[in-house]
Amino acid sequence: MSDFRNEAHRKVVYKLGSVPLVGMIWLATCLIIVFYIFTLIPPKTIDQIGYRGVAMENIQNVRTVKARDRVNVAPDEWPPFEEEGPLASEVYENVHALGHVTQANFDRIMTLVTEWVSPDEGCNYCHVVLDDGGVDYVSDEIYTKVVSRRMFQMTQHINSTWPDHVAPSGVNCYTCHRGNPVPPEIWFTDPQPVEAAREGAGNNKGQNTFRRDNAYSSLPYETFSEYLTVMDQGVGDIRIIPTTALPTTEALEPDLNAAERTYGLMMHISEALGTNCTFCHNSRSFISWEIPQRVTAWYGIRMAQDLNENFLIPLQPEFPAARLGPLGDAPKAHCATCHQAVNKPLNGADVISSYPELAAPGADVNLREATYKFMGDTAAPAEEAAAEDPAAEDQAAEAGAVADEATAPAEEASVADDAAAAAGAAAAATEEAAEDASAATEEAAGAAAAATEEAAEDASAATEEAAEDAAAATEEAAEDASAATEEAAEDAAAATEEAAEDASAATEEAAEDAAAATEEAAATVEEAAENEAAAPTEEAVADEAPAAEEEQSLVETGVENLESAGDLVEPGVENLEKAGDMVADETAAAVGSAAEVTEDAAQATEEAATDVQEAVSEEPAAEDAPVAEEAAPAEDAVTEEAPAVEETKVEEPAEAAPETAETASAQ
Amino acid sequence: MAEYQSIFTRVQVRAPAHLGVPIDEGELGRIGKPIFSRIAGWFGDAQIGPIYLGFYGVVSVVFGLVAFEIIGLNLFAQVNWSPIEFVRQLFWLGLEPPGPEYGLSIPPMNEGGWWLMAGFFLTCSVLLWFWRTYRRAKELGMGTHVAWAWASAIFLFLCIGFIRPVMMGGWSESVPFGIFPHLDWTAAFSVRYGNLYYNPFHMLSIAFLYGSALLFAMHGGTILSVARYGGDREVEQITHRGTAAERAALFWRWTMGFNATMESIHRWAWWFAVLTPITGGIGILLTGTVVDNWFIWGEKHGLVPPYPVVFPSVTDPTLSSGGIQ
Repeated sequence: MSDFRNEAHRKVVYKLGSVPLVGMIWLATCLIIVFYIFTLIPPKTIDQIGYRGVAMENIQNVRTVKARDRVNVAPDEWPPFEEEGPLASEVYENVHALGHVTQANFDRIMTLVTEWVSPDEGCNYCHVVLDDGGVDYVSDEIYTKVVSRRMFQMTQHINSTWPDHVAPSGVNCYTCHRGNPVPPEIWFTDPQPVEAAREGAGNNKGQNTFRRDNAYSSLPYETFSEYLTVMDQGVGDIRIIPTTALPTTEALEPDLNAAERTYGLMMHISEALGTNCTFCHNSRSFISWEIPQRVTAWYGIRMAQDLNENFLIPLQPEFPAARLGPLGDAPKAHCATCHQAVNKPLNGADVISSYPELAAPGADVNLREATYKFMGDTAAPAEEAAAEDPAAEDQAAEAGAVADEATAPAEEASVADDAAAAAGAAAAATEEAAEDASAATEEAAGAAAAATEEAAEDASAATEEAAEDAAAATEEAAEDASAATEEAAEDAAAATEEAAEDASAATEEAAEDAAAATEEAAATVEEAAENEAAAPTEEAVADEAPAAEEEQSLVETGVENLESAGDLVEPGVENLEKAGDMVADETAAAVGSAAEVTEDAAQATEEAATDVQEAVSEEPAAEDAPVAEEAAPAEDAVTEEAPAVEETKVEEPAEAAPETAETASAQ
Repeated sequence: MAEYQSIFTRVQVRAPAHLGVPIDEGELGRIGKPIFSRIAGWFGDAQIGPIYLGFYGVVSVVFGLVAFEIIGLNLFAQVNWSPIEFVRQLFWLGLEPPGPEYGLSIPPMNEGGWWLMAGFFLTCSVLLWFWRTYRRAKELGMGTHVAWAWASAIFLFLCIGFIRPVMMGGWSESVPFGIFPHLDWTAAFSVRYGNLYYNPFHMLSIAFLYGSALLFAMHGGTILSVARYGGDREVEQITHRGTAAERAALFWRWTMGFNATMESIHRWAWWFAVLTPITGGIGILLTGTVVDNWFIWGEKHGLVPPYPVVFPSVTDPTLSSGGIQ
């Protein structure tokens, strides 16, 4: 037996040979262990969902499917009552989202929503319990009532606007809530990148952490803030794969981290829907549109953007702090909010046919912008009060229109070539003008002329514009009081340069109108200050009542400056027109900066006007002195703003307007 | 009797420590008294040491250690210095390169500066290690095949982490340090550039990689099978072709009609191994710079087999609705 290499080998072989039973037992044991291990592997179903042989398969773990099917069951239906009897809006107070429903069906929906959303908390989750034990169903005192009204609107919006994603099964409250006041699958903006930026090390860039949101990968886990909060107008940033074989530009972006973020969002969808990539995508090329599910998902992404942008994020002020995220942001929705691990929420059960109240709004309205707060809160901030006041809204709209128009003439002015040349010419013109008047007054005149020119053009909006113009002029006047230096003259040069272009572009009549309107503006502001209830300023203009000389000090000063400015406008404008004519042939680039500065001026004017109006309207007593006090900060605000506007004109024109708006509103 | 030469042998021959052929040991010399390890003996030679690092070896190890520490401490900081979380999440944690907004500039430390620094030290370390292997081979009078094989791996490393990012104009194109992060990056890289499987150089690299494994298995199996005839003395069989070489050659001619020789099989193996990262690196360099979407490129060049469209009505909804309802 020379085959055996050594004694041990021989022993093993002989032992197995002489006692076959032991060998058989060993073999059987091994086989049993192997078979047992095979039983641990979960059974799967594999459905072919594409062309054969290209791995287009839907692979599902049978046990996972069984577990998730147990929880994704729609509640019992409650069909609607017949359409008879009074409407809810006729019977109840303060019903808006469902006012078009009959009383019986309204009560039915209220019962259902309690069952779907707050089964443990009951009606009182939204409705106020009175001291005597009764319930005040009218009150909006509890925030949940306001939120739930908005949620009814959102449900109607989803079913009526997004059939491409939710039809035919539709959605109702239970689709997301599943018997919980707060839906179990919501998301908040991740604070980690913000916090990490303050540290010296350890920035994980919002990835490299296992979360369910990225399907336990190392991919970015909170891609929702980037991709699901703003409605996407078209292709969107989600798409990172080129559509041409060869590069067409030298752009670095979308870079590989953008690819990872898109990948992270896709992993969320995959996890939220309990599917693989090939449920929607060609296994070979992710960009090809070959599978119907991808179209459905495409609409789903847009729907999530719509809901977050127009419904959920704006609800942020309604929520108490405990309901907000770590960065104080509102709870938001993503794919898992409805889907909850199945590709059709509640496994595709029809949850809308029995509830036509939730399928569409009562009237043909745009629910994205619909109001959902009806019970005015007296302690509400002034901004909200203004927003709820239709007149104030109109004013705001017109002010916006004025701001828009202010840019138009400057753009139309086809003077233009060289911004530097324009600046030089305008500076020269300004020096001449400065001889005629103090530099700051002239600046006031220029700005006022530019602004009031628009006022003159728009007769219907003239009243409010006048107030705004006055505010702008007051701003300049206040500046005048604070500083009348050479620098001011230079600033004035910049401002008057624009005014010159405007003036030359517009007719000479416009300049005269500007002067006249400036006076009107002055009169109007005085009138407004006098007027206790901030009466319609059209009357003020119609009256052209002479100004009250004993006006409060600051406003008065502003008005006086304005009036003198009005006198000075004409010589100034003449000089400016000369300069403008010189410039006109050459300056093309100046048009852009002219538009910006004019826009900024209009913006500042608008803010100042709003402030003045608020100041006036918030002081019904309208004592002279208090009004002056109110007006003063507004002037200060605008005055502070003016240098900023000039700076931004040079450096970052695009950001000037928002900055101005922010600072002014902060005041 | 031949058993002691095999892996996992129970017989280990012990002799006085062998210090090798006399060579110039350099300025630092070899350090340590040789020890014998039974566990090492199961896999190879039981003798460990004496160790030679020399100047380049020491610097290489120091640089590598610096890179390792930068990466490790950054990962540690990401879990807020929690040892338990560090262990739990170790495979997920990663040190990310700078964002595209930084281009090829030096970013703030926490915005990718640490990544850039770690990459620099790691690159220095591997290059110094290359120089060390090159010099040691020269000192021993050997060829420098091992050093160049290592250089080919460095080439791929630099393609991904340096050459291609420079060609693209931003460090953001590079790969993060981390276990799962670099794998997820690889998948994202393939997705971003339209499926890397249709990159011919990626195909070549895979062919060489799997080919290396196949050649290794074929060669190892062949030599072990003729070890009883002295086939394990391969170099002697090259010059004095004995019965082991004859039998091995005959075996392969019988089974596949062609056989390598005792020498050429090693050249096959070396080139297969070296070409794996070289072709892979070329594929990386072409991606994004020359070709943006490998699948569409493959369609244009007949690489992609056409399949019937199962749902012909499906089109991109962006083209019809524009994204708004």
